[in-house]
Amino acid sequence: MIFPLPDLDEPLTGGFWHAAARDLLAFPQCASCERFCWYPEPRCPACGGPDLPWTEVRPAGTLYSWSVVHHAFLPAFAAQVPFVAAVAAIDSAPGVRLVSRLLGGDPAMDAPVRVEFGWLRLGEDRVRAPFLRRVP
Amino acid sequence: MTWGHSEPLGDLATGVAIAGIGEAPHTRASGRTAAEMAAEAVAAAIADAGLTPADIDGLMWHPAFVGQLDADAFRRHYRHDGPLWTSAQGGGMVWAGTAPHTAARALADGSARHIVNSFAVAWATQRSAMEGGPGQSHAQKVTKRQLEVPFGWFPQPVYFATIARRHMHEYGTTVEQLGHVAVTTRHHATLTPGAVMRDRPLTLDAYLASPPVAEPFRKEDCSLISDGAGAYVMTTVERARDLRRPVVEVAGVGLGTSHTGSHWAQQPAFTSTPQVFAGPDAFAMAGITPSEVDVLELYDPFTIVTLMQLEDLGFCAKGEAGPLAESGALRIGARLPTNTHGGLLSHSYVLGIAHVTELVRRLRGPGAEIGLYGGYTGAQASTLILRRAR
Repeated sequence: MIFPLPDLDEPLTGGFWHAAARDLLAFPQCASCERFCWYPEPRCPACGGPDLPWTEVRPAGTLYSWSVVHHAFLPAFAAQVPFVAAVAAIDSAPGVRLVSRLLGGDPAMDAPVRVEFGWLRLGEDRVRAPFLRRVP
Repeated sequence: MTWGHSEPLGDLATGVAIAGIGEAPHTRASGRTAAEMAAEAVAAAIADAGLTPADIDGLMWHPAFVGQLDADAFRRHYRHDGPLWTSAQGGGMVWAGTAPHTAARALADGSARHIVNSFAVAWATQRSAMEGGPGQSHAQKVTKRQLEVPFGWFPQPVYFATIARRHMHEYGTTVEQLGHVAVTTRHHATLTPGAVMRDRPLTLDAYLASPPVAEPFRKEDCSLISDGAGAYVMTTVERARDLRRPVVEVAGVGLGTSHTGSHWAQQPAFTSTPQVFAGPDAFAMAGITPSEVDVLELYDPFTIVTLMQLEDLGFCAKGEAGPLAESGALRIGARLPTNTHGGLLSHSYVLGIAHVTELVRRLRGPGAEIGLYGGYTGAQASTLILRRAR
């Protein structure tokens, strides 16, 4: 069965979670052409540049779409439904959409959201993660 | 920057016909293996063409799925020791649409005379063991497992519910319009012998009253999970004229690719499919426009995917497929009969192979001369246009 907590040691994606552990939002940005490359790839898909440092961005975005999930598609989610699975465009990282959850409800199209750090939990384990919340 | 491209397939190497179709029963959990269902479908397709297994000298399947009738399985099953041209670019989904184009090369250069393509799946039977199933390949992809699954943005019903929500925002598509797709497709299943949902009619009121799974989707917006198999035999148009069935020939094939693959969250054109790229090539090859198509079989894992493909293939303007469904145009007997067997939503989830066998069946009969299959994996889409030969 799938273990739904992320693996911080996964080379391709670990930088995202290491940043989140410090309550920071970061995405790979090409050192050559400055494009944000999301999801991570070994080389920049635009210019082929091999250097893609994790770059901290302002934790603010716009709600792009969402689904209120009622059915627990994995056993790990049984205690969490219903939840709002959400996709947000990140204001200061052009082209990047962050997949997360909207906390506090009241989803609305293109509404401003801020990124708020909290815990993803499974049993005794937990991982620091970026969540979304509407800006009042 | 564009978000995808069409694959340059080039003209068909020779005229290709689909000369035989066959299926294994499409069911809920049957206890059968994909391998035995594939063999049954292939046997039926060969017989339908009026051929014998010894006539088959070409075989197509897709190795990404377990239990397919690959070359070893085919040789064992039929004690076939003759020459066998093979291609692992067959099967269902997108490949059910592009296999005839691949096969044309082998038919043209003499590598094969009769090629069979098949696809089988036993996900309903496997579900009790929590093995296989549509979500598994996505969960195994590192970016999804690490960046989407932890938040619960998984599996496909959640992806496409999110896409549907945005489509509703951009174009005014309504829950009722999604419901019309589910109800029409179910109606077609009730008319189709062998459809899993044949005895389960659905009204719009019942659809609207059913609880949400992942908003805006209800269960009826989502494909079934099924056991089943399908196969079709390809040969040259010339040779098909000597066989026993009305000749259904390949008129056009197109293949489109999204640069973000199956990372739907990152696809710039969030509410579109790569049919945007596949469709024009297929229509150009066939020398027709969408208005000349009589029947459509569109890969429909979710109601919204039917709507998006109708738009992206040019059967209506972008954003107008919801009203089109609501108008009744997708019903058998109306302007654009769509998923006439009940589709993945209500016939069976056999990943498109039954869409193609259904399309051939429709074109053999009266009332439809040109038909279109829309294949889809997410990362790619294919368009296959078939035409009853004169």
